[in-house]
Amino acid sequence: MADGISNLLSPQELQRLAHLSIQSRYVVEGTLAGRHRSHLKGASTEFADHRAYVTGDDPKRLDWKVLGRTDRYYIRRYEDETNLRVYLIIDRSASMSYTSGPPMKYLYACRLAASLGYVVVKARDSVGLYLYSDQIDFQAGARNSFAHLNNLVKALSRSQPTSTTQTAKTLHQVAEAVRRRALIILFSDLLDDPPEIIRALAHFRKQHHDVIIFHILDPLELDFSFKQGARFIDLETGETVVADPRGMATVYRQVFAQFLEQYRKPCAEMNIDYRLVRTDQEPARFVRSFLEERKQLSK
Amino acid sequence: MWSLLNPLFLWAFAAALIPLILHLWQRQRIVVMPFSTVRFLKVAQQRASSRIRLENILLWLLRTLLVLLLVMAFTMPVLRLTSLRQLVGAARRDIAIVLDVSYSMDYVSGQNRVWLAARDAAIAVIEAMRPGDRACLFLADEDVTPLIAQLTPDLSLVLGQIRSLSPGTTTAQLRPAVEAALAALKESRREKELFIITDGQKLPWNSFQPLPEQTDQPDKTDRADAAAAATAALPFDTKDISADTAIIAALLGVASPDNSAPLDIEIQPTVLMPETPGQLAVKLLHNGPEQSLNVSLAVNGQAASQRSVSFEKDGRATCVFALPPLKLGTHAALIETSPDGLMLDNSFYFLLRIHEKLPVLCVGTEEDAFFLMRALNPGGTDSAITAQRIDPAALGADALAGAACVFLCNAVPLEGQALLALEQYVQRGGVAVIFPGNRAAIADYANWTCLPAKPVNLADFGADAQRRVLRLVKRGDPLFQGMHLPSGTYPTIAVTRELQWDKLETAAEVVIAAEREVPMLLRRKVGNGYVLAFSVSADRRWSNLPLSPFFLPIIHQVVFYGAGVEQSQSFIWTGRNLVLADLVGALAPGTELRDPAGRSVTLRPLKNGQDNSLVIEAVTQSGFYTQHSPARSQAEPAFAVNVRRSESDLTRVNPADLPALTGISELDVVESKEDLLRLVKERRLGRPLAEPLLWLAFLLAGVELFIANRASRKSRTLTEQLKIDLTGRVKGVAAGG
Repeated sequence: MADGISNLLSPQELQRLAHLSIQSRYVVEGTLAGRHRSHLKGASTEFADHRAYVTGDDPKRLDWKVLGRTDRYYIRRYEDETNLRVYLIIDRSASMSYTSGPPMKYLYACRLAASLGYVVVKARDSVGLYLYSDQIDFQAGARNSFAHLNNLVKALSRSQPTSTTQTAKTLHQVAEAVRRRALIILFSDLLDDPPEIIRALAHFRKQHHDVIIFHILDPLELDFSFKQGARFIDLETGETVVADPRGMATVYRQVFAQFLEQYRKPCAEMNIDYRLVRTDQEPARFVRSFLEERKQLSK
Repeated sequence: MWSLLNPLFLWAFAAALIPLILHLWQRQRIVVMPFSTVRFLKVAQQRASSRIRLENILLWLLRTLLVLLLVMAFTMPVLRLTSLRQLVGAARRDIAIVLDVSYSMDYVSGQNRVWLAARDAAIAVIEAMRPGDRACLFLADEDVTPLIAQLTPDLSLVLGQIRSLSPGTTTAQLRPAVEAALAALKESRREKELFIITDGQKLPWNSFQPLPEQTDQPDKTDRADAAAAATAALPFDTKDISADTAIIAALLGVASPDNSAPLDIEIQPTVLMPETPGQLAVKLLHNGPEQSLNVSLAVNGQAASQRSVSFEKDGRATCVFALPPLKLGTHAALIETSPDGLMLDNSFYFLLRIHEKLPVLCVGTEEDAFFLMRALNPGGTDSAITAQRIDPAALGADALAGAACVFLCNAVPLEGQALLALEQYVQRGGVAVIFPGNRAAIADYANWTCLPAKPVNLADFGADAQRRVLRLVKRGDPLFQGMHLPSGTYPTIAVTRELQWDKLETAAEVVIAAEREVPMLLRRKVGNGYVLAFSVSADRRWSNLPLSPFFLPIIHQVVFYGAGVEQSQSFIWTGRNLVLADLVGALAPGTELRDPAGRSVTLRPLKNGQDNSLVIEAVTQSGFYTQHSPARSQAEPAFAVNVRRSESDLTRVNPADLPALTGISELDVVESKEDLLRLVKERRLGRPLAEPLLWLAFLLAGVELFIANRASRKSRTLTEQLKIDLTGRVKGVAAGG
């Protein structure tokens, strides 16, 4: 089934993911009848609302009971269910190649993306992919097949983290490209300009996309618990800093906490699902926990 | 103000650069660490740079100070507070020196003589004193000789006394001298020091311990020492030692001394007859590596025999010589061992007295002494005993002269002069045997001061004669030496009258007991002799003892025992105030006594109650003392003198044991003159600061450790602060977030 996906996920992990599903918290636009609510009203049995009759409307959609009681013409509208379009946006900038021992952040992002992609396709939903650094390096539209998923995973595997990052610009481009309402999942360390990225995320929300952010960080990036002084080299810019971590760990944590807060708070305000993921967590377990919690919240 | 006792470590101050060098070296070998972004590092560094710089400088200062303190501690700095002490009036000091002058201090090892080292150390201690300081000097010999008993500021006098000293010929006890020295320092309000300068021999330190329980038959060589150490019956009391008194023991002897010495002799038979063979057993002691030793015997200046001896692991050996047949008279004999480091104890002097007959005096009527005279002269045999009987009224000094043993048969009461002569006879080494009788009432024994016990009752059993089974209280008693009773036989006598005794006097014991612990024969040591007292008479009116087969052998044993007691005076140990009469009896008019060096010995009259006697003040030279009479052309040996052999055991004391042995916990022990002077310098100059410096360094190390780990210890990780759950949801708030 999955030459590509088996490189990232074991059969046991795939089996555990098989019965899970991902739920969008908002209405989406799809082309197939599915389990997700569509913004299109019509061929469904679940009543949505009324609207005034206008010329050209099909008379058989008139609500005769309302007409009988009020002598006014109203059209009954029904909610339709459609399939979900999920777009995976993965950061492959050089900073995503950092690791202090656990899997590198990019590989970890790929495994998360593959897991979620598998869950999406298994639920007969569509999955698409955007791979970016300082530009969109790879993109694939949303389709509902395992062959498509395998192609996406192969594309992920072929790519390696490199170059600088332009997350905000890339997100704007994606937002322009994805016209229909969809579920946008961003996998990134977000080591860029937070206000710009927040604006890009707002762009998604303006287009009624449901957005999930997996902020992937190495444990040492969070805690900065190095034992000895070192010359630190920036993986993206090549800039160096000589520092004694023992003396400045506390201040670093304060600075980094402020950085995280720049994402956390706006995301909460924009109803964006923000998740902080450490790479020392087991990916399949994390996905399972995440999806189960999201399912609970959707009920 | 400052002085360094170990200035060689000054070069180590360069080690203060180590923290700086390590810091620079650490920067050189800094590792390169790729990181996702350094922008947060830069911000954090900007914020924390001043604090980090301050911490780094503080840590560098702490580490440098730590190294400096350690180096300073090793240089052993001493803070001299002379000026301060002069202000408060505590700069002066009083010292007492206890100098061991036993003959073991004369030990020579190669070119080194222990005495010279000890004397030089004492001189150096005095010379290191300042004008105004005071000193006193005590010599530790058999007791204590307070050479300068009071603290004196005249240090030249002390130096002169020390320079004029030489080791003696006695043993030494340190405790009396230490006690005297502490008493001399007790009233001083200055800083006090007590120096005990000795050779490291264990023996003199034993005096600090209570005497062990006396054995029933102590070794002859230890007897005098035990008496001399009688003052040490209680543990050494350290309560009077004030806290500001420093006690320093200098053990200046060689580490493993090599010494051999004859300890004692034993002559068999105890009574030597002309032209009869005898044998001499010599007990020997050896300290040092195992080796064989040559021992030679000379009699009257002529080499008689030589033996080679190998020692047991305990350093003891016994060497047996056959005594050559000797003529009647007194012969000077000498045992000599191979030369070693301590020559004084290599010779052992003694006299061999050859008796023609053993004259025994019986005092009593013919009837009273009948059975005794028959026992002494059984007839039919060539007995060595010559018994003479006199009436009690004829008893006097003349009659007692030359008697090996005196029997009193129903002779009590005696006249005062007779009793006095008898007691003098016993004091000199004679043996008096008392048989009671009907003449004496209990009250008649009241004037007797030499009895083993006072009679309290005369028991009369009348027709109901008491059956008594006699028992030797101690089978190994010298009195029964050579006496053989058939195995399983118990002498039994029937008693009709007997004396009953009060509690035993000092040095008295029961020798033969009847059943139910009834004393039958008692013995008491009086002076150099013995008094023996029977509970029954010498005739058959009180018991059938004279008719028993036990009577003759016991009487003969007593006679030979009495002669042996006299023979045991074949030598004496060195000592002071010895009564001449105890040594040689009365000197004939015009007779001169000379010491081994040929000098005339001064005799001092001593009045003791009604008794006038002559004493020799100091018998300190080993060898033969001789008496020169104008009537005889040749000098006659009077007595032989030997140095006490306990001093020959040069076993060293373990310095670590001294605090426990003496009970003085703050006892500084040094083993060389240089160490002694260093210690003196430390004390004289001020307080050494090495220990406080080390403690300070320890404290600084703790502070450094705390500061170095403070930052990483006090803050929680960001993961802990944010409380990220399994789904990646952030539930907490970070500090600064």
